[in-house]
Amino acid sequence: MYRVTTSRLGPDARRVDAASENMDRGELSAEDLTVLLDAFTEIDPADNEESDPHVGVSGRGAKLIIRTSRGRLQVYDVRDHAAPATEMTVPAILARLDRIEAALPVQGDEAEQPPPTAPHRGIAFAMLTLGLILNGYILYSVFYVESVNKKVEVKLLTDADEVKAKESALAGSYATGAKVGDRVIEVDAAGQVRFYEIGAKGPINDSRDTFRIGRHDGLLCLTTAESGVVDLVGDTLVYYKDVYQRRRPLPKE
Amino acid sequence: MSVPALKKNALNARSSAVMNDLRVYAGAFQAYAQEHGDWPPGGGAPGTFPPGMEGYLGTTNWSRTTPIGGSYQFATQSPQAGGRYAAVIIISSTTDNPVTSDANQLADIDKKLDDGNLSTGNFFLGYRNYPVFVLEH
Repeated sequence: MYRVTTSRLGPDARRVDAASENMDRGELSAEDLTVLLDAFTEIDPADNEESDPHVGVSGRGAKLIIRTSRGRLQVYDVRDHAAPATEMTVPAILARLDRIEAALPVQGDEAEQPPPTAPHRGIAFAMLTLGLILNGYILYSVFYVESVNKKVEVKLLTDADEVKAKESALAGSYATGAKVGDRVIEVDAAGQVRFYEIGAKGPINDSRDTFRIGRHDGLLCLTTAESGVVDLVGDTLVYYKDVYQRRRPLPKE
Repeated sequence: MSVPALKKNALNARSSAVMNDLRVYAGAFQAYAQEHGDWPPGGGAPGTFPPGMEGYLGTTNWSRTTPIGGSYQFATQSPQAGGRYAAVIIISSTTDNPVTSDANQLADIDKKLDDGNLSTGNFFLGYRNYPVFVLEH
């Protein structure tokens, strides 16, 4: 079955009817379509020239516009506007409407194209690479955050006896002072460290962490899991440039 | 608008909001100091009003999370980056509410508010690289 519309054609398709701009004739069988197209070829040449009547047919494989000229059928493919009209017989038109392959001219065109030459592939590859680099740069610039917390390269002490001796020697309480606003670092010999600030009503900004002992830039230090690096300078600790003096005896905060 | 441009706009907006907050708070603390002859007591936890400051800061964002994370904290005689400051406002991290460590963001605030150097001036990075705004040296 074929879906058929006619434009400026009378009911029998044999005469022009300028008033009938578009008429949907529904689904027609091959026989009915043959009768209609045969009648269409008999249209008066003068009327045909003046009104441009035509038939639109949709089949499984193609959608065609059919005009007539001097008793012959001129076929246009709706999907390829640029293609010139092809003169076809009614059986050829029916075959074209049913042919699935013919409905995919792009594939056919592609198949007929020669494979890309090396320069084309090179340009395509270069453009793809450029696009990927550009996208990568944009993503990098969006998601990369330069932190003010720079990582310090610490070489950990590996000698167990030395580590134990250092931990015992380091254990204690260190503070920037004893007034409200001063800060305290408490180090114990089991690898635990506590940071807090002396507040008006007790410790504030209180946090605990674990540490390991190492060296960086020739300094002995505590490198913590979350709190950065605490340097040991003489008998004091230096943390974010603030000096923490050892407190004796160990106070209870 | 491109994604980097959106990111830059967001960064600018956060910087402006922090700058505006700090100016408002500085005015409030200075007003308190003028009326009482000294800074209010420090030693309060981040996000809490220093004693006597509720009337000056009650209508502000003081107790809320700052635009760059963390909470505002007022401190006196505060040891910061090797120095000691009479009165400062610190943007401190709290549990589950860290202050940003984004160098570009912090540098942008410093550029708008101070000398553009995060190690010098009245806005710098102190304890744990928390931003510090100096009210009095």
